[in-house]
Amino acid sequence: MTDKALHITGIDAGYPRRPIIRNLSLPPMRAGTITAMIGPNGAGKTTLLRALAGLLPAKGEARYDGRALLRLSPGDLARHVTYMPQSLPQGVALTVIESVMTALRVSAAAGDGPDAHVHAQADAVLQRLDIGHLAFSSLDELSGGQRQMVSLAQAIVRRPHILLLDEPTSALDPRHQIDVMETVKEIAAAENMIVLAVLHDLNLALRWADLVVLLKDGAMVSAGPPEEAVTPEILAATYHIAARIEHCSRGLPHVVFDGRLRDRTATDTRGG
Amino acid sequence: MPNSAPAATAATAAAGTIAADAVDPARWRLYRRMLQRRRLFVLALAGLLLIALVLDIATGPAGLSVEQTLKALFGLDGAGRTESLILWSVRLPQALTAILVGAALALAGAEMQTILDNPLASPFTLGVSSAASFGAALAMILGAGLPALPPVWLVPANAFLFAFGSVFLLQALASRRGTRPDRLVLFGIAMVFTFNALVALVQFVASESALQQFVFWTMGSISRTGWPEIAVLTAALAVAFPAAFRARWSLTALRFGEDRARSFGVPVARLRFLTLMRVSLLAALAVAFVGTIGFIGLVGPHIARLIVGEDHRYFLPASLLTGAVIMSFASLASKVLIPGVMLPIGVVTSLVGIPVFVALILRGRPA
Repeated sequence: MTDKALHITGIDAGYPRRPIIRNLSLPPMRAGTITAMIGPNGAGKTTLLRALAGLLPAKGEARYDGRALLRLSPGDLARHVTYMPQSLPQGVALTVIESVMTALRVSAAAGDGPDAHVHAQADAVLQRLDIGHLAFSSLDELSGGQRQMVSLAQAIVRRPHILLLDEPTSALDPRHQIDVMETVKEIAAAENMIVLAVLHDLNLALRWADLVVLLKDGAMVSAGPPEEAVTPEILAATYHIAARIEHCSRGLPHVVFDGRLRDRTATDTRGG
Repeated sequence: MPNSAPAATAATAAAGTIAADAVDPARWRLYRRMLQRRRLFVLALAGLLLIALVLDIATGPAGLSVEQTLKALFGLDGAGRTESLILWSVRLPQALTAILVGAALALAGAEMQTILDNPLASPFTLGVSSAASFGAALAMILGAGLPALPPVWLVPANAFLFAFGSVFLLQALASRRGTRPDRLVLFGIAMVFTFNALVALVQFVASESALQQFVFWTMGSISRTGWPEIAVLTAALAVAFPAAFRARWSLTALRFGEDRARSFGVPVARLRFLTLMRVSLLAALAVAFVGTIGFIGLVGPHIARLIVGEDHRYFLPASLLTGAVIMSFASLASKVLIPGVMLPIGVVTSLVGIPVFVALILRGRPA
């Protein structure tokens, strides 16, 4: 039986004169689970996502289902991997339903399929994300949070094996943050998708991720189940903050921030 | 996001998957209606073009009636030799040139705006027209051009060569790794200024008559073209439009940004290259044959975007038709604005098009 997990071994990625990730290996990411990637600005989180999506040159191994992802042609890679960037561009004169249908249509497989089928798939995703009522709104009429939901719909509708999300909740209010994480988790489980999401909200990571990976300066600091990968000591060392992990009355872990650490032994001046 | 959206269908919610088992008839109908509206607008543009064409060929200093014009056009009994001659060697070539040039420039502009992700991109703003002007100036003023060409083709050949070359230069820059579209636009603007300065330099040494001839050329005129030019323009459009239409989904996807498009499997570099080739062919030919017509390539796509949005299935034909309609009406206006005088069409295009354009911008959003 082939192993339906994403194995990342010894990856170098970045720009020709500015390597950002060096020799990065991560624990396997299993199908049907969410991996949250956290870390300070400039840690290389987005770089890793873009490298896995074939948008940045990278060396090393990213294996999925017997395939070396970094060596696939862009067309083949797109069949397995979808990357959702942080934002949708402004000034696009398309409606929500058109945008989501385009994400399917553009692939050769769906490109010439009957319109009704493509529409049904796009419509199902909009309903699933609770934005069906926006189907005929122009993208430019949407709020930042609504645009982020559309962006997510575009990624999900392709039903990739590996879904790479770059800060999918950054523009969302608390309710929609929960909506998105819950929906992504359900879809990941139902579709057997591997989800790798960059998150800045540590509490979202603690609550929804099956695996948490903490990066700093292009290297892995910790990785594992949420409460093993995120500890006060690790947070102090990577973010230079004093923090506790408290459990609420329902037993869920929460990060409580107490403040900045004055003594910055390991100086970190790199920007995002 | 209000919590008023209908719940996911039982089937999809229960399984947790996102597979669509059935089409929701109501929402499918709404979607179909949106597409029908878009198609209707494209058809309306085609109808408008036909009206403009008929009016354009029925208008002119010879004062033929519509009846005489139609008789001459279809070779019916009672059509005089003079009428036929006027129609077939003056009015029809001019009217068709106007339509073809408008179509070519607007299609080129639409594709440029998409691949460069910039609403200000057009053959004019990115230096293609300036480069063509320089080529024309070299031919007219200094007599420099390709050897072994008949003199009548010297100016268009030179203009074409420089226009094509300028897009090629843009292309060379685009294919460099890491060159972002906004840099290309800046580079295009730099080309505008460079070629304008070179043109000024050539003008500085020009004789008075050559200068006059050149200034007239830059104003744009559709009276210089005949059937051979029309055939060339038609062939170029017949190649370029279907090719652009084949790339409609990739072009639409590119509107969501390069990263997203590439992640959807669009070979963006190749798409840019092929699109720029089409753009250079269309823009270079149009400018070479009729001179500088700056407005269509920018405005045609904008008007199309306002009425059908950017689903390139509709956006590409709507841009092409809008450009053709504007140019056709401009050709008509150039004959009737001042009776007995045919104004340079490049001047009229702007005067006719700008009010429509401003009104549409103020009005707002796609249908």
